[in-house]
This record gives sequence, structure tokens and C-alpha cells, in this order.
Amino acid sequence: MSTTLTPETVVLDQVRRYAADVRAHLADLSPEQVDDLTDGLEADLAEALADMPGSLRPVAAGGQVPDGGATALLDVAARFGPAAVYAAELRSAAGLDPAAPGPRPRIGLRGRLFVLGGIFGSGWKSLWAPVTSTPQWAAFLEFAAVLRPAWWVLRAWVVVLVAYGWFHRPQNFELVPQATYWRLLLVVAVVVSVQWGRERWLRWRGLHLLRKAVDVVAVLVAVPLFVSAAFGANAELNGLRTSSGGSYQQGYDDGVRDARSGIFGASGVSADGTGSGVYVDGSQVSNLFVYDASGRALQDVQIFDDQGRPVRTLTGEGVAQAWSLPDFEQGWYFQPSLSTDGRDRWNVYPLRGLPDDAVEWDGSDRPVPLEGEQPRSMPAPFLQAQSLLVPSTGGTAPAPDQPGGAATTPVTPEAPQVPADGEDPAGPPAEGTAAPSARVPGTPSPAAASPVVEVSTGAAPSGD
Amino acid sequence: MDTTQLLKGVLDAAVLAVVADEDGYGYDVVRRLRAAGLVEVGDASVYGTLRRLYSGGMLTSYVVPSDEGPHRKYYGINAQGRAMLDTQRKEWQEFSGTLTGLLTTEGAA
Repeated sequence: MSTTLTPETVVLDQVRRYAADVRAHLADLSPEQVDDLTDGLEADLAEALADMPGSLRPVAAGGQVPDGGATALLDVAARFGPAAVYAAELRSAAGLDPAAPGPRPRIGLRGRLFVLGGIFGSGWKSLWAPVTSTPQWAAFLEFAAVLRPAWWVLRAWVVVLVAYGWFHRPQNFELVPQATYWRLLLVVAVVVSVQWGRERWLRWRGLHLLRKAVDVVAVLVAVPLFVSAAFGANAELNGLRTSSGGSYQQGYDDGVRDARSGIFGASGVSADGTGSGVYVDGSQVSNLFVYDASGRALQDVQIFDDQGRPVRTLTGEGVAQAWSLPDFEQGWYFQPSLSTDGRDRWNVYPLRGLPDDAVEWDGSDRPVPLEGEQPRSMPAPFLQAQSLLVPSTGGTAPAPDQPGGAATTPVTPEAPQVPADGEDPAGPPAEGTAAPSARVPGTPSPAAASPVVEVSTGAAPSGD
Repeated sequence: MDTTQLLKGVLDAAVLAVVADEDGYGYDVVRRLRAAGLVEVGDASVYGTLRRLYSGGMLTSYVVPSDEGPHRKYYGINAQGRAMLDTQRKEWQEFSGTLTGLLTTEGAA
């Protein structure tokens, strides 16, 4: 290339290149620092060159640059030294730390990682040498090698599922994404991964590291995935879905359904007060309505199970959350009854409650009635239930063989021995609830009548 | 003797002295230092020193656009720079006096 240029433009051009080169060697500084250090550098360089006539002889000679200015560039560097040295001098005179780019040999980040990797790697290997030198390890490696293709498929699957979860945030875990194009992507990813594993595709050097990274991530994701899948197997098999807590809840519901006999056959107060309640056909019950043998609705009936535990429809968060009632727009907060010893009773049915606008949060764990508001009754499902054919004495008579006929006395504070029972909700296992409750319809167990009342004061620790 | 090493310790004072005489831009300062006899002073050392003194609050700075080419950044001394220059001047005179005495004695002996 032969371009006619004035000596000045050529000098400026070379000076700009040299200045850019110097700036490149300061690239580890902030842009402001670089600007500060090199502001006006071109002008200074150009003037310094102009002070030394003859240093740019090839240009000055004919105004022609025979080789694109390379000769002139050489002269710039000859006058000022290599740009790296110039930059280092500038930097040190300005009081800045000499950084990686400088006259010393550059190892670079990659080189350093390599050295570090070598140090750790050899230590790591020697650490495991006692294991890896055994024939069993060799056999294991041979075995693992056979499984490699499965791993190629698995890692593609994991990566696609993670991406799918990231973009779609599906409510339930989907082993195979629902969306068609995600399924297509899954197939493509598997093909790529297998070809990658066979080293047919993507054999660039840099990708070697990427592959390791993908493998590590896939292992980190796959292991928890399998663990959760194993625990959520129930839900997984019922349509490949599981969600946080969902599988547990479903399993619990199944257990409840199996154990249930009658309306509230299986209620439980678990140790932490969660995951329990009363269920009918798998759906949770919020309130119970009790009718006597003649079909009359009863109010304020305390209900306990065969072990004396209060039967609570609302446990855990249920006492603080708003429930929705049929044909009622506002949220409904249930309120407990109060026993004479001042404790809340949640096993007194039908539970009363209040709508949103009649409660307030006073800092406790559940809303309390506003001043002047009284908990209200919910409408019962039936005003009158069917009368029963059982002997009229069977349902309501106090137990003849228990002292004092205490069943009709609502609350008596003297029941010192009971708290131990009441505090042991986990006590006898589930079979204990299932078997006796199966007996309930037949005989209104005389033994049950008396404990009910005693427990009503004693079970307080779990009845908050 | 490696005068560039000697120069490192006193370049601040030299640059301050030059700028105190008259405002100047980077290469102008280099040129005046060389004209004064410091022929081995490095361009980049002077530019870096100017930036450092400016950052340290010893110099003021202003940009003068140029018709022919890139703009020029001029430096001038301020009160703090003058105070610094005075201190360094005294220190140098003491030091050079001491060293002159020392070297003269040795040479005479």
C-alpha cells in the first residue's frame, strides 16, 4: 500500500498507536486512572518526536510510507522504548502499584490456575492413593465406565430440566416437560451430550473445562433430585408430580383415609402441632357440627379421641389463617372457646368465628376479636338431623361405672394426674386410634365418657 | 554513578521547581528539565510525577485546546506545592551540603 500522507499525519498516526499500546498496558487500572495518566500523551509524544528531527526519517524523506508506516512505528518505539516499559515507568512515577502487565514475564491467570491445580491435584491424588491403587477401585472404574452413556443421557436431562424449571417455574415437578418444544430440546440435548461424551462433537480445548463444569453441576443437581424423587415416590407415580410438601400431605391424607372410621376417626395432634387435623374424603374439615340422638344440634361440645387428646380441626397455621365459607365473601377467622382455667379450647364444636372486619391482630399468633365483638356461630348444615333408633339412654347417660358421673360437669380443675397423658400426643401409635374408633359406632364406650372431662382440663399443654 | 537512580529521589523537587517557574504541559516540563541539565530524565517518569503531584494536591491543572493536534494539559503550582517545594529545597540543601562535605573530605584524604 502506498498512500500519500503528510509527515504530520503519519507521525500523529504512529503516536496514537503507541499511546494506545501504552494504554493497553495500563488496562488493569480503572478507566479514570488511565485517562488521568495518559491525558495529553499524544501531544507530548508528538512534540517529543518533533524535537528529534531525523528519528522519523522514512516519512520525512518523501512523504510516502512504503510499508504502511511500520518503519515510523519502529522509530517511535526506538525513541521512547517499548510501550510496556513506558507504561511501567509512567505507573511507578505516578505512585501506582506495578501490576501484572509489566516487564516481568507474564504467567497469566490460566497459568496460575494450572500451577495451583497441579499442587492441589497431586495432593488430592496422593490422599486417595490407598483407595485408588486397589484392584477393587479398578473394578469400580471399569463398572463406572460402562455406565458412562447413561450419565451422558442423565446430564442432558438434568440440564434441560433445570433450564425448564428456571424459565417456567412449573408448580409441580415435571420429569418430562409438558411443552412440546422443551421435549424437543430434551432430545436435542441428549444427542449433543452423547456425541459430546463420545468426543465426536465439540472437541475444542476450552470446552473440555465446560464439560467438566456441566458434569459437576449435573451431579450436584441430580443427587438431590433423586433423593426428593425417592421420598416423593407416591406422588411421582401418581402422575409424575410432586411439590414442596405436597407429596408428604398426600401421603398423610392417604394414611388418614385408611385409618378413618366415622367423621373424625383419625385426628391427630402431632408433636409440633402441624400436619394434623380432621379429614373427610381427603379434604380437610374446618368445623364440626354435632347432633344428639334425637337429631337436635348441640352447641359447645368438647370432643376428644380415644386417648384423651382434643380433636382439633384447626392446628398450626389453621388457627391464624382466614378460611373461606360458602356464600360468604369475607375471610373467616375461627375463635377458640375458653375454659374456666383461662385456656383456649379448640376442640369445642361447632367452632365460632368472626369475619375479617371484626378481628384485629394484636401481635399474638392469631387475630383476636375487636372490642365489643363476640365470636359468632356458623350456620349449621342441617337445623335438625335424623333421629336415631338407638336406646335413648345410650348416647347421653353418664357412665354408670365411673365415679361421680363427671361427664355432665363441664370443667373441673382437679385432675392432677392427667397432664402426663395429655402431653404425650405421640403416645401409642396410630393403630391405637384406628382400632378403638372402629368400635365407636357400636358402643358409646362407657370408658370414654369420664376421661373426656378430666382431660378437658388436663390436656391444656397441647391445647393452646 | 547511575544518575537515574539519584534522580528518582529528587524528581519531585525538580518538577515542582520547573512548574513553579512557569506553568507547563508534560513534554514542556521534560524539555525544561533536560535544558537544565537533567538529560537522562525519562518522559514517562516526568508525566507520572506530574500526575502524582497533581493527585496529591500540589499542582493545579487546565487543558488548552490546540489548533494543530491534540489538546495540552498544563500544570501550575499552588500554595501547597510551593510549601512542599520550600521544604524539599531546604532538605536538599542540607543533604547536598552534607554529602558534598563528605565527598570532598574523602577526596582530599
